[in-house]
Amino acid sequence: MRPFTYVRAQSPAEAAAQAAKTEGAKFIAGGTNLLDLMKLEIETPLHLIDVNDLALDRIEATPEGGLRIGALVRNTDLAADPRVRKDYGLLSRALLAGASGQLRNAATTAGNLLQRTRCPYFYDTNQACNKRYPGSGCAAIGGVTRQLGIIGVSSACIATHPSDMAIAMRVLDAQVETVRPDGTTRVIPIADFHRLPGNTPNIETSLAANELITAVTLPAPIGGTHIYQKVRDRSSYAFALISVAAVIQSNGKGRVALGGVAHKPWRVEEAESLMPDGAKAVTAKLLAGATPTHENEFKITLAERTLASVMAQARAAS
Amino acid sequence: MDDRDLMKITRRKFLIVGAVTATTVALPPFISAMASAANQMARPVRAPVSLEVNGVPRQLELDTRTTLLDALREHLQLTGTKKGCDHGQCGACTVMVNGKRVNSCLTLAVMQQGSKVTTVEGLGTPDKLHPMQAAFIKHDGFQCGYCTPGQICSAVAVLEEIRQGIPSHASPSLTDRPQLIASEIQERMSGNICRCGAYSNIIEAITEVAGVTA
Amino acid sequence: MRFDTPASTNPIDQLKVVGKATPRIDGKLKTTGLAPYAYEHHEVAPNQAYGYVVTSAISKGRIGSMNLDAANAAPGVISIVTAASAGKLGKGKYNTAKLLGGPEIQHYHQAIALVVAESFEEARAAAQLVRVEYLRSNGQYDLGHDLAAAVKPQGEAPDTARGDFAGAFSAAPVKFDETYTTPDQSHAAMEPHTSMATWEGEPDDRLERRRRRYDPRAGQGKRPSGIALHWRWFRWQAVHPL
Repeated sequence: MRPFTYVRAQSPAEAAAQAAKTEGAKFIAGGTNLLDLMKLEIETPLHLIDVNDLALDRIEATPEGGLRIGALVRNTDLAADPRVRKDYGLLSRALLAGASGQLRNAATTAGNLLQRTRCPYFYDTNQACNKRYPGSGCAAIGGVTRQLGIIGVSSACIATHPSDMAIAMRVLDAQVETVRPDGTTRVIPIADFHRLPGNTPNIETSLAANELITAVTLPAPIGGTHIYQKVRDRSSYAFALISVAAVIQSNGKGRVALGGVAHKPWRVEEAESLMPDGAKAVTAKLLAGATPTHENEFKITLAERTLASVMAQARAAS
Repeated sequence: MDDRDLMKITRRKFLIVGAVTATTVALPPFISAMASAANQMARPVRAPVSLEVNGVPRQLELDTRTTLLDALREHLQLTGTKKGCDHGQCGACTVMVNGKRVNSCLTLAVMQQGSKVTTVEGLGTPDKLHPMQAAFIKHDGFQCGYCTPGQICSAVAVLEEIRQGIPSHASPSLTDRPQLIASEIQERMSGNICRCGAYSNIIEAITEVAGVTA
Repeated sequence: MRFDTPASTNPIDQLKVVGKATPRIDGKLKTTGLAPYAYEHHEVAPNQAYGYVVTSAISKGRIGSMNLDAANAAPGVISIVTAASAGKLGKGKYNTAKLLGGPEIQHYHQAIALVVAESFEEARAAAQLVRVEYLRSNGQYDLGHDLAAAVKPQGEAPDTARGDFAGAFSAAPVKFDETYTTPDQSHAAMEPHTSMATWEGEPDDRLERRRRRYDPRAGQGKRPSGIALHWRWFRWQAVHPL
């Protein structure tokens, strides 16, 4: 970990402006991913801007009947909020399926969106990685790929996004609110927030430099049965091999997104219209064009069967 | 000399090595020479930190890189909290910060300015054991004991989290209050690993303190 | 040992020792965080320095060259131990690989240097500045891949058989023939490998000069002691947690 100066920000706009003026600045909130990466010198900020004092830790109703979730709301608190449990159960379930109790207590909403891949070749700094050093190659391709991506991958990178929360947010059509160094704000739909690796896997989100997330909003509740099914090698405290996030209405229609398969939450709205035709039809469309490795092609079948299980549970619940 | 020069091997070196059967290699990690040069002489930055540890106000002056874990262990000589992985994966470093359990290895001491920290030493002493500590002894919830402080801090927090009605992955219903049952405790304790395998006894100890017959 | 007769009572059933709840004598210390583990003895020497291990980036081959200039010049660094500077290195009776590797590399992440500095953070940062050039050799990493080259052991019967499996299998009304594999797993104690070493003996002149050059606080009158520099000059304190 390289030396860094440290300061606590007092306002979101001030934090973003300071970040723009200071070489090598990064925001730190929970720090549960950033500090991990700093210890390995995968991240090497020269200046840390601690945003924990910013008043961004509330969950409030929006005029549209939805929720505005402050960027600093801790994962535990978000999952446990009565409004989330009642009207956005998918989000609670996804959050509770992730990490450990200790990590959920420290991790924040924005940090969860921004966390980086756990690809073992990204983490092993002795291996070639186009995320860490563009142009150096991808040691994962041709390596151990069981945990890695099957769709939307590229010849530069086959990593997956590790977040459970992001998959749920993608299904719930969340929007990400930000402030930029010049003080202007904007809203980024969650579908556009995370990027595919393409030729630039080192660019993971559509945030501009030093742009600070201030909140994530959810639209008004859509009802339905909310299920987050996570399939992994352990029953707890492990990342997904695949996960299925679904909201299914009593008429059999609904929304679905997959985790553990791509560089971003994987949702194909056209596939959802096939839900009345069953999991096989949905998955065929959802994972059309998938390019798995021999080692991780099982994820396609696993996704289909998990979705079938989720749809059966939804039928039983309605 | 940049990285690419280091990837070349001179003929003389090749001959000296002799039995090399594959070509020579780059210089991992793939660090750009410029970034390396910029940082290799960077001096540590120090900052003052005041926090309360086990009820006692402490003032420290630390390298900003110091984690809360190392501040406790190396600077306050409170070695009860353990470094098992230093990457938030094992839970041996679990402490209570402002009433919530966290991995102290994944937060900086400077980030805890003004915080109230409780470590295993603050829960109880040999002469005045916390009920959870006593239960761990009674139910033999440890062998080598290295994960034990983290287990105990987590366990105390887990019971409080259940009492506060916070659901878990193991809760059948999101909206009902979670129950003090083994499946809930196991799920909530999943962030504390134990190579000696004292898990079943740990669950029994926690269950006893929860006030439910095992 | 054949289990073909019913079990009867045995001495353990009395629960006089095995099965009897006995609080461990170390229980109170371990549950209150007071039991001292390997590098938790702050009282044995003041101002302890910290060592951080640099590990090999290749699995098999040789170190071609190692450049310690940047690491040595890093803040807080007192010394760097490598196989080149450590003198004659032995190998424990039960070790397969050398604990400090170099120039031969025997396994991935084999320790190849120890960076000693005033603080853990400085030692860790300086370790990242050690520049190593490797000469990689081919290795064998996949048991399944090399199975064809496996050799049957001499001596005891390597294969055993009872009955007529082939006949019974072919005659079976239902046949199931699949191969399942489980991944390699290794286990490790929760406590990381750590050691503490204290200097006993006359201060070495060379040591004094090196300390003054690299000790940023030398001018302020603070002197580090208890420095780990060369293995053979130290008395080791080992703590066994069980």
